[in-house]
Amino acid sequence: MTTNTLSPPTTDRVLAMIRGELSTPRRWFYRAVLLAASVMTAAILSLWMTEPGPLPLRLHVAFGALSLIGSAWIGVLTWILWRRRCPTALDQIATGWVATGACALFLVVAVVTAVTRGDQQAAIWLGLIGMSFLSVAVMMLCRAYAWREELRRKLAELEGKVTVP
Amino acid sequence: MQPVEQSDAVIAVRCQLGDPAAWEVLVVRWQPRLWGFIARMVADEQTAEDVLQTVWLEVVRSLVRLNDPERLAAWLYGIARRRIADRYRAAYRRLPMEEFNDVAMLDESIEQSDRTEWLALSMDRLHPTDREAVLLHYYQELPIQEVAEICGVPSGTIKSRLFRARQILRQVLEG
Repeated sequence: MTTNTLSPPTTDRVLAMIRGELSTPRRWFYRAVLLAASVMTAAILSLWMTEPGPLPLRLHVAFGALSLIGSAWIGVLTWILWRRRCPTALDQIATGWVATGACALFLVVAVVTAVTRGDQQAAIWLGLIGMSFLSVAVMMLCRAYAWREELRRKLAELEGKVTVP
Repeated sequence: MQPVEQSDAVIAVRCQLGDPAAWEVLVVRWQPRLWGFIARMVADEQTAEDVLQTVWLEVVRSLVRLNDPERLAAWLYGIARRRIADRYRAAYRRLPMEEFNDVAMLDESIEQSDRTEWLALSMDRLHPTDREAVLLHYYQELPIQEVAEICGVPSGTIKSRLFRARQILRQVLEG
């Protein structure tokens, strides 16, 4: 039997759940972890690439595994923040800024570490990797701003439809 | 002066922009409509409430991906329909077939004096796909084209589902 004679449940529970989803602390936590993961990955990669002497195989494996874990964290957190935990245009802009910051940090940490250790070739390679990350992040940020503008234009258009008789 | 009531599309865009007041309007406006659809499609009140909660969670998490805010109604009913289908699938997996049929059987002890209630209860005799077509077209007053879009089938299929449903309901009312 279906529940066809019941009245709808109150909106309190749904509104509380939506407020929870829209609340920012959890997203800022993810953003902070994204920043930390970027710095860690940059440091590990630059240390690995600027090692002066030949490394034993097990150290290569360890550096490789750590870099992979760091990159996976960056990927997963970016996906969570961009696709799963991004309910509004404002959140996309905030995430875009954090991603840009994270990539800039990656670039600075990686290049500075390589330069400090006197390995120019590694500095160039890490700089190129960092720059490509940064350009993707800047593209995300631009898209977020463009989307907000589009929404504002759409809203003005829709409100115009209502007010103009 | 009475404030002009905002359209669903305006509310959707305001939600996408991150206006918390718009979310409140969206929930207050759509909770009864979604409930009207979900509660008539699933077996019991608790399940209906769970489905409703799941639908809202999906709405809040994926509203950013709604490209055309003027299609909000179709988009919301589409989500509700998918979540209901999940429940049906789970029920089919869990129950032996004869038991599942019992769930859909009409409760004989129900008073048959109220014609409207009787009609509503007769909906249980319909196949779920026919029932959702009736609910979306007659109860939620959506045009056939939009119902077809929500259900992902051609308009002709919705018309034949409505025709079949009307025949069954007529038989129930006359019998």
